[in-house]
Order: sequence, then C-alpha cells, then structure tokens
Amino acid sequence: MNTTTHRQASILLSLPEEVITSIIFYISESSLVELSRTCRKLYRLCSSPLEIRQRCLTRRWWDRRHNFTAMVDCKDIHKVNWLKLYIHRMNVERTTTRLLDEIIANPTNHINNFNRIVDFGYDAKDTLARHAQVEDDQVDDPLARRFQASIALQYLHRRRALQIWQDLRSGADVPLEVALLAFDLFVITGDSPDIEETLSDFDSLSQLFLSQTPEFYLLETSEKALALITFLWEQGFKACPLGHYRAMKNQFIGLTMRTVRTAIPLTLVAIFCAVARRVGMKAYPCGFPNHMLAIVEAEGNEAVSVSCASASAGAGATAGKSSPTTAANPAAVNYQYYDLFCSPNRHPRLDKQRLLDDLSTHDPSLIPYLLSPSPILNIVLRQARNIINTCQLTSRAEADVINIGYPSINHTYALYSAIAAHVILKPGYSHNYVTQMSEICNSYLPMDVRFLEEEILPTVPEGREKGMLTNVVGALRAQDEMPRTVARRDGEGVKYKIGMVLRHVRYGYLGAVFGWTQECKQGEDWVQVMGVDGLNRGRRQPFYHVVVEDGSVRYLAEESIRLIKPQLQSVQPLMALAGKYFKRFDKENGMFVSNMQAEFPDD
Amino acid sequence: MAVQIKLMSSDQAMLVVDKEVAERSVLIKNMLDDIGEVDEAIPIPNVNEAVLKKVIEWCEHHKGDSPSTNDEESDSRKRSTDIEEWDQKFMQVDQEMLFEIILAANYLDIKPLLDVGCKTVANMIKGKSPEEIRKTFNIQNDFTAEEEEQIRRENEWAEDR
Repeated sequence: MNTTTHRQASILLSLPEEVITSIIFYISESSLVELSRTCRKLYRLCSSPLEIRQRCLTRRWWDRRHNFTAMVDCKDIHKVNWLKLYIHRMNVERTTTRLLDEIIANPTNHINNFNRIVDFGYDAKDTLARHAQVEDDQVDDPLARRFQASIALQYLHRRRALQIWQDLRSGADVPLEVALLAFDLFVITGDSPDIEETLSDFDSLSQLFLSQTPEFYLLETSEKALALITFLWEQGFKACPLGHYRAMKNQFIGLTMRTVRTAIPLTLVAIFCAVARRVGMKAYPCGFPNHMLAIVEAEGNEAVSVSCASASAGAGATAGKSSPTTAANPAAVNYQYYDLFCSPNRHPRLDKQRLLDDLSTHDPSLIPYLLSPSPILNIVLRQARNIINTCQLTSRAEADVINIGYPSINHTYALYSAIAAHVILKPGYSHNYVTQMSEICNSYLPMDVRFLEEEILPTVPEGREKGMLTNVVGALRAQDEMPRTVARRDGEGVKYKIGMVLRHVRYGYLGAVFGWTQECKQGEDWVQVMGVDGLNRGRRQPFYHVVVEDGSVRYLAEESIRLIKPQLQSVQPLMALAGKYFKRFDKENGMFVSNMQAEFPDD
Repeated sequence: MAVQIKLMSSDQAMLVVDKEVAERSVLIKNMLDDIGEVDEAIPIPNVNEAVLKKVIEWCEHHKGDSPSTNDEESDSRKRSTDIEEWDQKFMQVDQEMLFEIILAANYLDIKPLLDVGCKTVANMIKGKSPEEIRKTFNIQNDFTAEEEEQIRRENEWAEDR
C-alpha cells in the first residue's frame, strides 16, 4: 500500500492540456526550464516541439552550423531536436550576457572574453544587438553596455567575413555578391543591415525588374542583358562621377546598394551579375586588364556553332584555362561582353574583335583566360587592391573632398578588410601586412590579435620576423591580462574627478575626464613640444586624460580646464566614445558616472 | 434599453445580463446567432454561479474593448505578461477561483480573459525554482532518479565552455 501522505491534487495539472499549453505560452524564457523540471507532465508539455520551435523562431539570427532554415522547413517536426537547440541557445544567450558584463566591469581580459563571445557565432548576435540597443533607463550602465556590445557585434561581423573568405579559399561555392559583402562586414556599424538584408534587396530588385519587363523571358540573350543594364541605370546603379572614383563607399557593394548607388565598374558588374543570376541569366565578372566587364553567356539555342553547346556549362572558375587560343575555346564563343560603366544608350555591348585588338600586346596564351569569367577569388582580391589603393593613393585632404556626400567609412577598418582578404586568399605573405595588422591590433582592435595568430603567423617563414611577430602577439595578450595600476587619491592635490565635463580654457572644446596623474607624466619631448613649462603652473600640476568631442583623446593640464555642468543634450558629441570610460550620464550632477573603478577606485 | 438575456449556471442560478456583455463569449454569441431571440435561460453547465458572476463582471468591464488584433503583433509582444491594473486586481483571488475562471474562459471561449488568466499563472511561476513551483501548485515530483539525471544532463548540454 502507498504510505505517502495523500496530498491534495494539483489543480494546475488537472486543467485540460490545451489550457496548460496556453499558460506555457506566457512562461518567460528563464522560467521554462524550471517549470519543465517540476514533474513529468509539465516536462512533456514544456518541451513540446511545437512550443519550443515557436520560441526558437522568435530569434532572428542563428549560427550557420545549425542550418536553421532546413530545421524550420523540415516537414516532420519530430525529426528535429528543437529542445536541444533551444537549451543550447539559452546557454549561449546567458553566457554572452555574462561575458559582456565581465567586459564592462573589468578593464582586463577583454581579448579572451570577446573571443569567447564570437566563438558562439551568430547564436550570440541577437543578444549582442539587444544590449547594443538598451535604453538609458533599463540598466545602470547604458553607455558602457551599448559601447562594448557594439564592439562585440562588429567583431562578430568581422569573424563572419573571415569565414566567408575561408570558405572561398577551400573551394566552397560562394556567390560573388556574398564574397564582396564580406568587405562591408568590416565597416558597418552594429545596427546596420547584415548580408541577409542586402541579399533580400537583390531579390526585390530582381522582382522589380521582372515586373517592369513582362516580356523578359521571350527576349534573346543580348536583349535581356540590355534590358537589365538599362533597368539598373534607371535604378541609379551607374558610373560614378569621375571625381569620386576613389570615394571609399564605391568599394563596398552593400553600401552601394543602400546609400549612393553610383559606383565603380567592379561593383556595378557584381550587382549586375547578382541580379542577372536571380532572373535566370548566366552572367559573370570578367577581369579585363584595367577594366571590369560583365560576361553574359548566350543560351544554348542561340549559340553560333552547334559544337559549342557542350562546353557552355560550368564556365566558372576554370573556363578557358586549358584552351590555347580564343578561336578554339568553344565556351567563349557563347560569351557576350558588356561594359557597365558606359551608358546603356551608348552600346554597352562590346565587339569581341575590338577586345581582342585591345589585348594584342598581351601574351597570346593569356588571352582566353582574360576573356573568360574570372574566378570569384580573383575579383575579391581585385577589390581588396582597390581598397588599399583608395587608402594609400589619396591624401587625407583629398579624401575629405572625394568623400563629400558619401557615407563616412573608417579607413582603418577598410584597410583591415583588404589585408584580411589578401592574407586569406593569396598564398604567401607580405611584410607590409604583418606590420599594418600589428598596428591595427595594437591601436584599435586588440581582440583581433587572433587573426594575427591564426591566419598571419603560420604564413610567416621561420626566422627573425616570425620571432618578432610572436613577441608582438604575446605582448598584446600580456598587456590585456595585466592588472591595471591603481591611482589612489591622497590629499586634495587632484581637483577634478573621473566623469566631470569641461571646456578647454583657451580653445573651448568639450571634453570629459577619464583619467588623471598627479603631475605631467609625458616624456620630455612631448613636454617641450607642447610648451608645458610655459604654463603658469608648469609640469608640476595635475594632468588629465580627456575624451574630446572630435573623438580624440587629450592630456590636459589642470589650469587648461574649465569645469561645466552640462545638460544631456550638450554632451551628445561625447556619446560615441563615452561608453569606453563611463557607465551613464548623471543628469542631476551634469557629469558622467565613472566606469574606471579598477584604475581610479576613489573617484 | 439594451437587450438582455438569461444565463443558467451549473448550480441552477439564473443571471440576467446585457446581450452585448454576454457576447464577449464567442460560445454564447454563436449560440445566439444560431437560435435567435430566446426567452428561456441559456444553460452554462460547466460554470457555477460564483464563477459565472466573476466572468460576467469581467465582461461588463471590458464590453467596450475593441476586438483584439493579435495577429499583427510580434510574437514577443504577444508573449508579454503585462496585465492592466484593473485585470490584476480582478485576478486577486484564491488559486481555486483563478483556475475556475481560466476554465470558464476556455469553455465560454473568451480569449482575452483566458489570456489574462494564463498570464497571471505565468507570473506566479516567474522566478521560482522547480521546488517552489511544486509547492505553489501542489505538484508531486514524479520523476525517477534516472529521469532527473537525464534532464539535468540535457540542460547542461553545451553549458559554458
């Protein structure tokens, strides 16, 4: 006989299952696991695939390793282990938040923590995006949280770009526009559209084209090509003004889709090919010397010679390589060449003979190769070179003029994207890239030391340089792990505190204090150049590290500082960087709240 | 004057309500649409007088509500457990009554009331450990030791690396 005491039956459990399921619908994410662990019945209902699948669907981003779309499309819901996926996801979200909290709370160990987050892949993206958009009144540290979450998001995007090019390197089938959108991943800010959004822009563009060209499928290949070229010009995808050829935006296909649509040939060709493929045309980029053309492959029944038909398929990466001359290259017979940098009413289709004439000075054995579709990898490398040229050929002043009216792009990140493409896609190594990447990691992106370690270090030949790079990498990590020196306040020596807002006494610019020293700690050279000894109180007065409204960081003498107590609106220019040092803005006291306790515990 | 109808609870109590109010219940509305004007009381065999009164009270208060357009809301919005103040007070009843109201709302097909009830229960579960939930709702832990172990392992899957 059962000896346990008879307990009153649970009313909750006696409800019809459909009602319990309705209750479970409202159970918060964090409580669902707890509820499922109470008894068998609730476990079964809480972990029902239908319910869990629904919860998984509320997430926008999934890491590609899950192949989430296939899971969703799976006809038999029981074939997919939704519960396992969900629990994994919950763990990722919790851990991501915990790691981000740690990054915000501690100035050390950022390299490890950021890298642990990005190792979750896109499973972490929704969580990071949520933190990056947190409202001022939701948390205690909105500035720091948004700042660090955006940094993590951008890093996540960079890791995805590297992955795309690694796939390309290993021979995977990566569409041209995706391979080029990887560049965009380096320069977009945290809340910008990702690759998927831009791909769906391509889909919409293709649908618009088809709806405006109802006769499309009845047209000959050349008519189709011309119709599409004309359509894209009308949509604004046309030659950029020559004075803006080197505008940085022109190198980025995603930004071209969404901002200023005029662009350079390579970008226009890539957009053309992406739309063409979506409407069923065979179109490829053609890396002609000093220019970029589009190749459109005529359909089988339009072929000039019957014998060509067999060679037309799969013309991608290897086409033309084995054929000694163009005339004997059957696939090339089906190719039509288009110059998209030229207006559609000025005959963008190029005469094959003219192209051959242009190439007459080239090695004849290369000609078939030059007139064939270029491997996507080559196009990516070409774009990388364009970016490097754009960074290097234009002076700061020139760049300012050229980029007027274009979205502003961080040149360091642009350069990084180009270097990364080269490092991944081109065998061998370049001393230049090693130096530039070390500098980028050292000054801006310490967490990317991993790129140095994983991609660059193995390519450096044994010897002195390898030794040096190993030291650089080690130093970056050691610096990140080293506890910060603590500055205690003793006496009244230092007047101002971390977070106080100021204007420069003479120049009037706005800034906020994020550090101080009892006296000037810069080297003698700096002291001389800045004329510190000419100040009333000279070098033996407190100096302050100040983040300034133009985004720079300065080191100011106490006497150069005039304290202010501004309203929230007046400190907006400081907000972009404020999160690096401060938790939030304290409206009552007109100052920022320090997030520098590790170094300045008394402030 | 508003058209009134009569409802008969399971314990044979007769309640007179405005037709408009009673029609918050999709079940009653469909019934009235089918049979047209009636003098006799409509039997509500699954709901006793006390509960039926509570349900009518809720329907009175919400008779002006526009029909819900839940479909347009995002899933996360729909899952929000925010409850408006009047409803919160209304739901401050003992557990037995709470579940009776939920059952009645389910039977009478009053979706917004069912939602409020479910949200109230969800809020009672929020933040509690499994043991606390068991205590609150009189739930017997019927897992075997092996099952407990299996669930524990399931939850650890891909735990912090």
